[in-house]
Amino acid sequence: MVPAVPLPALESRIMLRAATVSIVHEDAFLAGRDAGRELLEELGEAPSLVVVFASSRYDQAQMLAGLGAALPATTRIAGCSSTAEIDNKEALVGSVTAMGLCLSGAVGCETFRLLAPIDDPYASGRAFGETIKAKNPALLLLFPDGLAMNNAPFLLGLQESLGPQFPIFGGVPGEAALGFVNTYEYEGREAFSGGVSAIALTGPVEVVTAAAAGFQPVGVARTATRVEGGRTIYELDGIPALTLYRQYLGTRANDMPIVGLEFPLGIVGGTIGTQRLPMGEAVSVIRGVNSFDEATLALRCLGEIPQGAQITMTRATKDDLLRAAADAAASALAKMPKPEAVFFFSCAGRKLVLGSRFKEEAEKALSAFSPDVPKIGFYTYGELSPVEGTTMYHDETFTVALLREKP
Amino acid sequence: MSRCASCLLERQDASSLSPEDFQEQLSQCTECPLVSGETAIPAIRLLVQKQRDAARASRKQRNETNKLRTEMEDLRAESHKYEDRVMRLEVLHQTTTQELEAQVALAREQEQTLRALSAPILRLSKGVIALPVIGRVDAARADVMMKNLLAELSERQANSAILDLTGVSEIDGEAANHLLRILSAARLLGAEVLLTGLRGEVARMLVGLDFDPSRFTTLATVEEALRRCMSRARSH
Repeated sequence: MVPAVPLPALESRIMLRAATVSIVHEDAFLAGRDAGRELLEELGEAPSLVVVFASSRYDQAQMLAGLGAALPATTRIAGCSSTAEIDNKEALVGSVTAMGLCLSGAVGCETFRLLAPIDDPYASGRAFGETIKAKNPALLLLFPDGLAMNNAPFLLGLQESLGPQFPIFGGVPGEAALGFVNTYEYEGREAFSGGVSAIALTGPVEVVTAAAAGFQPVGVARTATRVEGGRTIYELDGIPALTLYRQYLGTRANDMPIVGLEFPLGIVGGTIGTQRLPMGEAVSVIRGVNSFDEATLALRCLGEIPQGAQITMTRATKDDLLRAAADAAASALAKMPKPEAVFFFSCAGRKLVLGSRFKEEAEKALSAFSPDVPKIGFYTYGELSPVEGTTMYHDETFTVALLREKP
Repeated sequence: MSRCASCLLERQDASSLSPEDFQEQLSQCTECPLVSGETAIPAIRLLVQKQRDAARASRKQRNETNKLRTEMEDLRAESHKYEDRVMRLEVLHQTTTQELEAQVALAREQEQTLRALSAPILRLSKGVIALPVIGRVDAARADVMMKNLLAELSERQANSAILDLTGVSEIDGEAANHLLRILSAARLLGAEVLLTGLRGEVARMLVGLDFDPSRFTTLATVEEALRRCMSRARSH
């Protein structure tokens, strides 16, 4: 008599199979090809979906051609360029890092692209959302270009179609050189700039997210009394924003862009889009200061600052930033103790501030999870993660998303 | 599937291929009838499989080397940024130190001027000088007062010194001791010392110390003291 082999308990059965590889190569095509081949070796079969984050130092078209050549045509590919990448073991620079997912019959995936120019981000977001909605998505991984487009109205349009509480997470494509010149989105086997790429997972799949920045508010909160174009603050409490920033930082305020990332602004209250932020002392979202205008005494931020928002100056030590990464990972894990795939999105500004210690950030977050769980992430030009259920654009924040197929 | 027309294992140029290129090309031979299917030759299948494993191991090795190289380049760039930052902080520190040193020097100069002004000696008449004391007397100020008073006593050949304490509303032990030192020093030079404007609080503090009231003349006002000095001068 053949003894019966017990089926694994439902809770312990891994339903969503994934693997992550990272390749560093002088040749862009070979980097992509080797990443594809390694995924096939690791998974033992062709993945349904490959999420790829690659250093912008590679010829993007060549890299995707290599990756595409190694994988069957049925495998969907999406992702974006990055400042640095995170794989199962560490944060690294100059790599092609890819996660292959073998989806079960119940869980499916669709990839989407929106090409430049995007003249009306809100309307485009809304239309894009309608296209995605038609596929009955359960969640959305989003990679919108941050150099060519203001992400806040795009996100708002998207949420208009998909619903304000629809789970959206992801990151704004980055650049290796942090030059704010050109970033890339990938969909299919093609790379493009100024657009949006997205992955929708369909079926019984769930996600939990967490975000933490580690920046602490300093001084009193001030009201953004004059903001133009969504991202340029002219006045706080009627006082020129640059004057206040200089009072706070002294002559160091001239040391842009690093000082604008080291001492970002924190939004502690107000309304972003349709989302009313909780009033209090805690910082809800961070806004890095990109540059200032000496003539108008205005501060230009990386992300949206709505007029009327409550703003504070912030500060953080490197240890505060590292602690925040660990806190975000622990917080997400508490909500989903057995994830099947883990995504990290950390800001390129944090890498800049952490300097040679930037790898410690990923180490802190990675160590929270079992080594068997596949993980991937990248250093972004902005993070997309929910605040009280509604996805928002963040700066200088470490965000975590955990994924699993519903049992 | 039939064998390739130019089988890698039989090609003339195969021996001149680099090991990496040879492994790379051989790893593509998965569909060859010598490797898979019923016609597969176990030895060749094993050889190709092992070559594939070796190719993967070599690829991984190369990848690790590349990662380390890239990481080193990144760390070098970070190190340059760090050095640059430290240099700028050093310049900032130097500038700040210079500014602070200049401020400290100015403060010292002002303090000296203030001390000189805080111990004025008034010549009231021939042989009579007065030292009005206003505010707190610390060790440094007491030294200046004593120095000025003693210098004036000997230079002017004064025989009477009026120490007016009208401007001292309260006094601590340390200040009282300083005053006593001044009085004793003036006495040693042979001058008569007259204390004026002594308030209750100050008197209480002096009595608590080694103050012998019989050694000094105590009067209510400077005017009274001056009158007394004048009358003494006339009687001599």
